[in-house]
Amino acid sequence: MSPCIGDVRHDAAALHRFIDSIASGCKVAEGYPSYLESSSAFFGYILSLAEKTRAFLAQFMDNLDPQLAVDDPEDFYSRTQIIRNLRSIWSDLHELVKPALDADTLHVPCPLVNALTSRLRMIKGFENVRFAVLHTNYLNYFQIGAGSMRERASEIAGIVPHAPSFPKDLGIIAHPYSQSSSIFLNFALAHEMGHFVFQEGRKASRIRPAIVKALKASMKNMKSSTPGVRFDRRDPEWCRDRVLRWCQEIYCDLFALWLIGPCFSFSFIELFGLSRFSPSVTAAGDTLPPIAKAADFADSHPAMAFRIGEHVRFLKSVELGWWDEINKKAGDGSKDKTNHYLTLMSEAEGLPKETFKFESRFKPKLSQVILDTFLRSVGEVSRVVKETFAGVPSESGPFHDQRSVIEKYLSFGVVPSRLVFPDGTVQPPKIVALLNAANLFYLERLDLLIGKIQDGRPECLECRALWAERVEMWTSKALEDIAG
Amino acid sequence: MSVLSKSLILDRLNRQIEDLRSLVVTPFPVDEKALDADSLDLRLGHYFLFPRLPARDAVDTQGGKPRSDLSVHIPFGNDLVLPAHQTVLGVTLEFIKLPHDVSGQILTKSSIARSFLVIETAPWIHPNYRGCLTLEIANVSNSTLILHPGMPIGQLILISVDNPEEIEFLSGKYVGPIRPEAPSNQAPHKH
Repeated sequence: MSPCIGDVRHDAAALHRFIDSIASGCKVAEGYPSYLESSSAFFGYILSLAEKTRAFLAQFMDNLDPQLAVDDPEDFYSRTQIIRNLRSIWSDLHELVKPALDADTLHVPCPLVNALTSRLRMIKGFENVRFAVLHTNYLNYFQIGAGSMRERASEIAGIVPHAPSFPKDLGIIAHPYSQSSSIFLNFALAHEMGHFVFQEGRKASRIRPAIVKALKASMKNMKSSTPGVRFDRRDPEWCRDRVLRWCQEIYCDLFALWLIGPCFSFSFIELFGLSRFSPSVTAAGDTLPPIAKAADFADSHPAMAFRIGEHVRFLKSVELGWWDEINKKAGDGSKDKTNHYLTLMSEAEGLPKETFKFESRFKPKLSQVILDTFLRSVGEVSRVVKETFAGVPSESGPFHDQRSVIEKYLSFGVVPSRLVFPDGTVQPPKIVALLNAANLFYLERLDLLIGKIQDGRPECLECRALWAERVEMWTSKALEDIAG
Repeated sequence: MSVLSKSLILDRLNRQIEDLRSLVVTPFPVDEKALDADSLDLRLGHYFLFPRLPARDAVDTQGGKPRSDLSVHIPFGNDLVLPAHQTVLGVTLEFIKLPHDVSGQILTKSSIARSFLVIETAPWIHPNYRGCLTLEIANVSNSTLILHPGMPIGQLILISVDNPEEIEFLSGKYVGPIRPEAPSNQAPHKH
């Protein structure tokens, strides 16, 4: 049964109110709290879209002939379908607005987002990029694809005349609300920025040929080693998509390593609680290190152990030159141990390929082919990441030069944004040097700072948490200072 | 005791951090006029703590029940509206580390004072202090005042201390703050 005009009027009014209530939260131009400029651009987009949609709705209802519902119910239904389509689009936008409103400048790591963005803008083709940050209830980070946002915007534009297009160069990243404005826990934002570059820079097309070649070899190998095995016509495409998804995750990890250095790996280990595979808890009789227990691939992501091993291989590459630097003793040479994360990383890198397992929930028979194809083609990913960053320094050099001085400032409880070097020169730290030196200080040398505080007790949990937070705040302040 | 001159301030600023006599002021003002013959301009930072209005409870100055303050961040380019007869805790943009033989005193800039804005009622800074300085900002005028983060708001006078103590540990309730801090044992509520 087709709707009558009364039903349609009701639906249109309900949609009008729905849009009103979403838009009312976006009027954040003045007053408190305040937002990143990129978030304000997102709110501006929603407000403009709301205004155009409401105007369209009003005009649509004015022009709708009530008699049509009687004369041609099918046509009437078809025409009024527009309202239901708009409702569906606004329902999707609804999910983004509240998390964006929650992420005001007191609750997102603005100095870190700005610092990462300034580095990312050095990449050719991304000179004007900016990122709005949302909160999420999940203990994970994700990027809302700019491509899908644009698709949504064009869907609306197909209905609403003069609907605004989605802001150019705007990425949207969601981060766990619990990480709030923390610096050290939010390095995963760099990984999500990698997803934006992967999608907007069409990096899949750079990696796909290597996957296709590897897949052919892998299928041929499977056929010869497993008599009777048969593949469906659509299996190759399914395998390629799965491998490409894993490759994208690896791309984003390596992207983050180039963007901010090895502190990304440390944050990754901390975020996912991988120190439970600490080398110190190897069980008697085990031939493989504990990190081998994290060697199972999932349909969506490569195994944690593989990813960490890949981090190490990339950090060791000549272009980055990071691995030796972070394995050196602390800047002033006074510390006799490096942090346990480095040992964990080395062990992950040393895992033999046979350690890794994959059991697809969807197509179990293709599991081995997919894994084999991935392992054959993943080397291409690091080449594409290096190509992405052509001309952008990794900054392991400035880290080498500045680490010890930055650590000294932190150990004296001072913001390291104006550094006086032993030769008398005065310089601000480089962003990547600052982030990594501060992060290593937090991991390895917090005791040194606590030891300088009257009544400071390294064994006291609250004391440790307090001074860890202070180190983060000083790092955050230094990022703000050098950004000017 | 004597006030540090511009040349002595510059000398202290260029000492390495492990030198007990080193002075840190960061970000160091780019504007040369910020460094006077005997003082240094300090700017308003962008974090604030507002007491809730109307006040929910009496504040026990000896501690007790936490005061319910509201944290606010005002990015550069935006402004803070402070109504007549209202107060707010602010913070200097500059992080300061004083040498072990120097005390500091912060004064309201004269142009600010003439707008009847008081920024500091606890103006003495002990040797070896480090942190952004919390400002007890009060609009004692009859007009609403607009404050801009980054605006020069105070002057720091540095005074050398005779026979300074060798300080072994960092002490005090407020080591290295970056944001305004409510009185100790009074936790702020974020909005």
